[in-house]
Amino acid sequence: MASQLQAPPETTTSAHVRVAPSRAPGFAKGLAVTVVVALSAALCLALVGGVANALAGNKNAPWILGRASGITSYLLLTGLVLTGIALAHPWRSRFTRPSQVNRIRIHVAFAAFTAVFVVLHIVVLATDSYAGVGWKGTFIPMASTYRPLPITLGVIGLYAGLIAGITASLAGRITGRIWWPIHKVAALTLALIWAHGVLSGADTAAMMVVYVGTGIVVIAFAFSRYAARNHADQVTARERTTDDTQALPPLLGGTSHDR
Amino acid sequence: MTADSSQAPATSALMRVDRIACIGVGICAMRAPDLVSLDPWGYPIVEASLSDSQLNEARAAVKGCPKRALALAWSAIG
Repeated sequence: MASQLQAPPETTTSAHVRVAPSRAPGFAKGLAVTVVVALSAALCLALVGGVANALAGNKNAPWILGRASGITSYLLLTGLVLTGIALAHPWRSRFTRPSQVNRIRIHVAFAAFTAVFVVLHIVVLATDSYAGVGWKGTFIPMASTYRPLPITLGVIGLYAGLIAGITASLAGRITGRIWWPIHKVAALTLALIWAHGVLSGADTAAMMVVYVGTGIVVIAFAFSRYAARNHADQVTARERTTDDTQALPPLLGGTSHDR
Repeated sequence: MTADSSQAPATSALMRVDRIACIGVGICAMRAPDLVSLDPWGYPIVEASLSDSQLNEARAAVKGCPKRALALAWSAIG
């Protein structure tokens, strides 16, 4: 890798400017998006209808729905964290597809779907008297009569996730010095929700493979993200090994952003 | 716009990218899609110069950058 590296870029430059903005052609792309959205909507309606039909008349339906929405939320949150780590991963630029803008959109889509299923999870279990959580238990730590500590982990995770999502959506109105550290720390929300799921679920034994597997994947991916060196790390390392940065051999890879 | 030695030179706003600090998250392109596009590796390509009406959008991109790798600058023209 190092042998392919080129001269270090200027620390600050405005030379890499856009000459002609690229805009995707409209009609074909719009038609494709419309078809995909329509098919997705039809599929979702069919699935919801099937679930509603299966649960009709079942007195345990709220509990089943609450658990199903909770597990779905956990899996979506896992996807949200993985795509978030990928957005800033130093290995990210090895892959040019999907584009970084589309990766952000995927990350935001995970956030939106996670929020939807969390709301469903909360509403179903808060309104189910059998669950023993209630509205207070949903929003106030240790207020649940059902497994108060594990439920509290979920409550804290809910607030942490809300703060992370709201501050990130306000990026630009609030400075990156605020939202970015919050966003990184909020990835630990997944750990809270992991513990919430493991400790509060009545079906944890059946789900343990999923919990352990997703946990290992996320930890390994996060480790690779923080262990991998980015170009700022490479520059710092080079500066430590020489007093004369002007005489440095070629440093950074031959991508257009480095010129 | 003509240069006048008795007055301060006219300036043009532009965005500068610190290409070592930038990690290519891409928030700038989301906040200022008309001013910033991303290259295939996710790093920003910025407009050569900014009009007054584009300044607010540019400020949002600068402010939202998590690594403070974007900055507004003014260059003399004329």
